[in-house]
Amino acid sequence: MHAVTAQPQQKRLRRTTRWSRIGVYSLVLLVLLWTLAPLYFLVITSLKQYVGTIAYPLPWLPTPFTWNNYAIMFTNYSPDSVSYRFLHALRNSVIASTATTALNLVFGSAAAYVLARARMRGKNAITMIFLASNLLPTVALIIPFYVLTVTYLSGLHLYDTNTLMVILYTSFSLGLVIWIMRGYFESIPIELEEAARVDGASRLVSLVRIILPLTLPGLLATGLLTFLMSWDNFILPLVLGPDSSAYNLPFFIYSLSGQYLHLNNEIAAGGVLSAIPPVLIVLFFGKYIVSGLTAGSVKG
Amino acid sequence: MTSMPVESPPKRATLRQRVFRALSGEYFWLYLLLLPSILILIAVILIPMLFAFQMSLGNTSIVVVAGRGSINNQWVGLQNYLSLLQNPSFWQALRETLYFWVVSILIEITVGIGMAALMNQSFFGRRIFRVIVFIPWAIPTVVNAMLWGMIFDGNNFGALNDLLLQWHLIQSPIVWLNPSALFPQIPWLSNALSYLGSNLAMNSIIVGDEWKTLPIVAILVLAGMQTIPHEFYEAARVEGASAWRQFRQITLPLIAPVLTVVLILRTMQLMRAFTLIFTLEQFGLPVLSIQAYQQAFAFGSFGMGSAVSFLIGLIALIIAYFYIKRLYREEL
Repeated sequence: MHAVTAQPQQKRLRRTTRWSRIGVYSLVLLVLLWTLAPLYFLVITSLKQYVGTIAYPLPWLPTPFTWNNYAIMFTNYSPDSVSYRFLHALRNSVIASTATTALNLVFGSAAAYVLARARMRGKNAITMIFLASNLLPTVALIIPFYVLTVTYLSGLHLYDTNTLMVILYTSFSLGLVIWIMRGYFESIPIELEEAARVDGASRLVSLVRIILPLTLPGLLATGLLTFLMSWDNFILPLVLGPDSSAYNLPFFIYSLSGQYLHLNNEIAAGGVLSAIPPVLIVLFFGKYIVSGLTAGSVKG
Repeated sequence: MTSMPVESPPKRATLRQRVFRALSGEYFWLYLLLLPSILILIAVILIPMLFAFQMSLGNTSIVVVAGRGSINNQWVGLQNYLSLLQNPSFWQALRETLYFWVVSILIEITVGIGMAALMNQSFFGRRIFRVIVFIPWAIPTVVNAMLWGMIFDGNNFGALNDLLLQWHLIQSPIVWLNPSALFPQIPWLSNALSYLGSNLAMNSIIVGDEWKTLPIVAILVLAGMQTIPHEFYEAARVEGASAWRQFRQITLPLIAPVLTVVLILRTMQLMRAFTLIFTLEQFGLPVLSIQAYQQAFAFGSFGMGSAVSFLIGLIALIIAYFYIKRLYREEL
């Protein structure tokens, strides 16, 4: 009796699992298509001559083919040429993002350590204020920044400088850095630190020698996140640094889309070039970034 | 809170003793470590916020000559706010902003969890699949905007129009980035959607935005799912719980902390949709952030621009308050 009923049941089970396999694989293909089709379109557009971007039907291979869109980013360097603007934007992006990352790691992790360890009234409130400051949209602060920079603080000559960009980027990611790093510090058992201090190390020494090496993954995660955020910034250079001394790659790509001519192929090439560093970061260190972001939710 | 007391709190001491202790002990070093961040917070967030409030109470205009500006701030009280609140276009902008945010969050929670559940299945090539899915998140926002601008181009050579025309799904190209009403055949539905801030351009922009943001949501949720022990599901199966029941009773509660993080990260971008909308539409889709920018930098009325900015900040802080309160629920 048992054998008789078990057989069709098993067959049904096998059939449903086969259907669910097909379902999973078709969903996987769908997600892949959704993810890769726009990327493919960006890359082939960057390898087309201009006529290939405005033809109907649109060629779905890079035809007519050219490397020229990439070549103009690096050759014929003269003031106001495309390569001049690209290379300046690249330099500014690298300088501003790197400096922002460094400052954020130093100030942010120091503050996070105190907010995790010190016995201090209102340290949760302070953490929350930092986090809230990060939730404030840049747009809400850009007008006072602009007015302060060109009026009361005009003596400091900050307008159109990388210095100003670094100061502002830093303040915008500081809250997130503090929030994530605090989670990391709290996950380290305090006994480790106390043991070091029993052996005679001061609090500062124990911080540098014991705690920092243990939070290295967290530092890496927050550092990369900060780097990505400042690499992506657009509104600050738009308002406060629209000149070659301060604008960054996003602003450069935006400036390529002129009022009269919209050269899709050049825009795509600039886009591919400026996307390479963040894409490499995500491909190689994506795991660290994810663990950093989730660490903030796991409270000690 | 499990962070343990490092040392017992100082007993009542005279002021001089307290100052001495503060400067000589290790607490001094601790405060010194915290100080730069606090100063940055005050100088770059708090003071500009207050300054924006001051400007919003005036008829502020500035004149810049050779890099030096002079400010002209004529006190008008709450005039700017009153005229904003009486202006229907402000309310429309507010609804459009909220529509953008609510719909984005809803898509991220439903589709994002779905994608995470898919990535949590075992199938051939899962590891490489997870890496590929993550890539769009790394694409800079302006590049993303330009890319979707090309896809949604209103001419017949726009990528989407090209495909739909060749498959004979449409007869003439659609201007995807035009803020035109949806369902023009059904007047009441069309009007209701327009009132709520939903139009063709807005929904196209949401699609472009989701392409970049869904991956991070899905991957964070996946990270949350992977921390759930297998035994929970096995026990549920033994009890005969359906897949949906398992999801509702096990998965959802246990990924709640990660969802909170996702909501916080996305709210940080609530009104940062500026980049995408400004690059694609300039002033064509006047959500709040675009209005603030336009008032100040296109019309030169910094008082009005500050008023809009200040309201944006206020809305963001109210939402932030609820999130953070949830995050620290056990402590408050």
